[in-house]
Amino acid sequence: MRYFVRRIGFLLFTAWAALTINFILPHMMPGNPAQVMLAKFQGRLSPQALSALTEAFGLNMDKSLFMQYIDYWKRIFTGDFGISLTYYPSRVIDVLAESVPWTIGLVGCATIIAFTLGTLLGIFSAWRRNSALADALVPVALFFNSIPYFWLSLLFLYLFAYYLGWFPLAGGYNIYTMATGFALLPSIIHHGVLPLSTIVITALGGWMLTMRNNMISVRADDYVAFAHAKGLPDREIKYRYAARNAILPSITGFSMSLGFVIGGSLLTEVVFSYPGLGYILYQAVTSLDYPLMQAIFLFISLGVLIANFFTDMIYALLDPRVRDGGV
Amino acid sequence: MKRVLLTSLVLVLVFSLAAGFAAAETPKRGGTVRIAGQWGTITNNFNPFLASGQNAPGTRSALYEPLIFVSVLTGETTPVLAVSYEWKDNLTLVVETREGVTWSDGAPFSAHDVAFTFNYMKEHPALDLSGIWANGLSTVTALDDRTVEFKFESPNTPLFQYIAHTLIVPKHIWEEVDDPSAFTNSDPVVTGPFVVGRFTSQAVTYQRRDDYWVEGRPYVDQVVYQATRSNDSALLLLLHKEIDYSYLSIPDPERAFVARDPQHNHYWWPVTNSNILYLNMSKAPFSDTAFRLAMAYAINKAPLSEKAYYGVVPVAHPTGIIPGQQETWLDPSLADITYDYNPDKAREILAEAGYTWDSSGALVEPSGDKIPALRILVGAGWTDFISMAQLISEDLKAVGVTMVIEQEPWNSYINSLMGGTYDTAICWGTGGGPTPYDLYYRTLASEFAGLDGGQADSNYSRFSSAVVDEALATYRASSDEQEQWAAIAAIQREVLTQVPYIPLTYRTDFNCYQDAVLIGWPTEDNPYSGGNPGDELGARFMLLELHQR
Repeated sequence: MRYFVRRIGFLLFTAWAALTINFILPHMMPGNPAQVMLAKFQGRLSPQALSALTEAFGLNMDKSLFMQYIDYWKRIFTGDFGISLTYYPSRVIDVLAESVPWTIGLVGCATIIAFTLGTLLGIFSAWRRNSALADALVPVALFFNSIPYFWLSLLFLYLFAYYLGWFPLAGGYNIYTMATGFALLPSIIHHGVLPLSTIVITALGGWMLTMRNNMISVRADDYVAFAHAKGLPDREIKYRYAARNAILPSITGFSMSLGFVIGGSLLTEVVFSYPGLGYILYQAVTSLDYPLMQAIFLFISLGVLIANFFTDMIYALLDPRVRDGGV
Repeated sequence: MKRVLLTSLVLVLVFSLAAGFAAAETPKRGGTVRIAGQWGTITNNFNPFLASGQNAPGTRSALYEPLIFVSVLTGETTPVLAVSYEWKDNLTLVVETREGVTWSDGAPFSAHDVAFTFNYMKEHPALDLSGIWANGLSTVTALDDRTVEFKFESPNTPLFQYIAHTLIVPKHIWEEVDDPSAFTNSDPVVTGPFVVGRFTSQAVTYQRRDDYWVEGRPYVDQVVYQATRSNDSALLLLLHKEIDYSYLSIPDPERAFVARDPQHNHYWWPVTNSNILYLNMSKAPFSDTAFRLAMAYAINKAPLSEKAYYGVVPVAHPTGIIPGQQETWLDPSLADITYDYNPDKAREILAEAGYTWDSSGALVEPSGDKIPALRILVGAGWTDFISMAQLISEDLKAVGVTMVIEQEPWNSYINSLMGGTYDTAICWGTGGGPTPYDLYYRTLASEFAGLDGGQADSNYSRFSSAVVDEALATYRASSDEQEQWAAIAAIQREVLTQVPYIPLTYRTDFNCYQDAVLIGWPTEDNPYSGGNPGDELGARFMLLELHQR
């Protein structure tokens, strides 16, 4: 119980710190949104637009940074993140609502698939060490892990979408169909295959190697040797005894990456013109769109913190030493 | 008192455009114009008062219409919702509006809608992005159903293009809207050729209007604007013929685009602006005219076009005036000032002004201080600007000046330019319009130079000259062509002798299209869209003109 309370206290403190930094950092960036907007038009907009934009964006309100900070907390608790400047005058919440499902669908699925597949392959290659197939997996995993993502995704796009034409070139679904709702699902899956597989392929190797290393060290433990000596079936030792212990460090990494899912994947979105939050965040940062930026960073911070908190809880469940030792 | 009758021009436009390719038969009906662009995500927002990019693509081309379209390329005017206009004197502009136009909800369009639109912008300054009301307009009144009168308190004739390009909204809808700058207008009522069909954040579809006021137009049934997140995506879609048009900057368009299907893939990149090397005149050594002059001679401009743009974008004119406007505006008496590459001349100018060179060959100021390494600011990863900066720094080595390339991300790049913390920077001309006035006003007027130590909104060189300011004022106050010409000539002389900046290469618009399905595209020979991107005002004409093969 004491452990639980301490964890919650820690969660609240880190949340406060992260959210405060989240407020301060964007304001330290040079320039102001109206200026950036004017410059983006490269001479198509008259400089007089500056005063109109300043007025429209509400930048002329003389508010101290401290008052803005108070407002910021009010916004967090009421869930009203204000109006986006990049996508003015849409509400931040609407801009996010358009993109979040795509990001969670794509990056979330990819993370889970890569973790599951990578971990299983790691177990396999550690358990079957010295067999040709298992050993070959290591350099292959290293190769895909170190391949530049941008390069791989462009290659896939060119090969499978442009050259072979098996998959669409851009977008999240067929924009010419009149279908809505579930009828759209086949099209969504068809458009999702390439982006998803590129993320999975590049992320897979990392999970596999971590799991493999852990498995190998666990395999050398006395209790595993004892289990073998006792004559337990190989399968049972592999999953119930060895893998269960070896997976603990991977779980931490996994929950962290689940927390980061919300940040989207900018490169995937750019290469495949796939909808999602990564590009929105990029736009927000380059246009100094404080409200939108803060909302996205808020969700990323909260995502990571909450994922961390749950990992701590799961650890306590899986490993009694953690809660009793009061680590 | 010049009377410009535009009715004939409309006829010329409507009939002559089609005449070229379909003299005998009427163009086929039906089909879809598919346009992709790097809009990222499209928001459900069809508010025509907002800056383009905030409203959905198509708002400014398929839906709403302006009074008159003014081509940046040629300066020609084409009436849309107006029939004619007349400057009664330099303080009164009278516009006659078109009859027989209906809004998409069936209500008739009249001069009252026009007067309402302008007065609405006065009431809500946040809508006035062109600063029409802040620069001399005093009243706009509908004299009757067909006539609108614009009165100015101080003469400002170049405002005409902004008045002409203001998109007109229906009074009966917008008078109910209290906070128009926050209004997303998701069900727009328009005079344009299309209405909103289907909207998603990845694509917006517009359907043809049957009761559109131009007889028999548009030919196509719908227009689709598809959002991509990179130029590469749009290029692949275009190569696959999954779209018809994209506004697309391709490094080597001949090889990467045209060569893949020379019969159907075409690009039209008209020059609308220049890439300029800005010199921060609030700092030494750029505060010295001789130094700036020497730089202009020391930079070899031809390789810039070759290396940065594969020769597709030509070297700029030293005045910064774009080719389409040169015939009308260039002062022939200045023709011999060309700043052709001449490093010897550059050294000569420097030596004359008292500069010396130390034993290592580095340039030393007349005061005896060695000139430190100077920076060239470019946007991070902007390959065209970076290759130009590399060539420039090579060139300047020959006169003993060391240049360091400084790449900055978008925000800090713009902030350095506006804040005046840079040394030299490659950037575009901050102004463009149907006459050189717009370029000179925004890049040279002292009101934008941040002379009080503040932000330079568009005069990045922080140049200030009484001659230029006076000539700009003369131009503004006049509608007499000769007087305006003389004012622009005075500024050209100032630009060429003072060298507040060095034009490097031209800057073009990037129209790329494939005509396997649709024909009637604007081209070099028939530049009816003014070179505008597919979601800008001029693209309206393109949407009316395109039809199936």
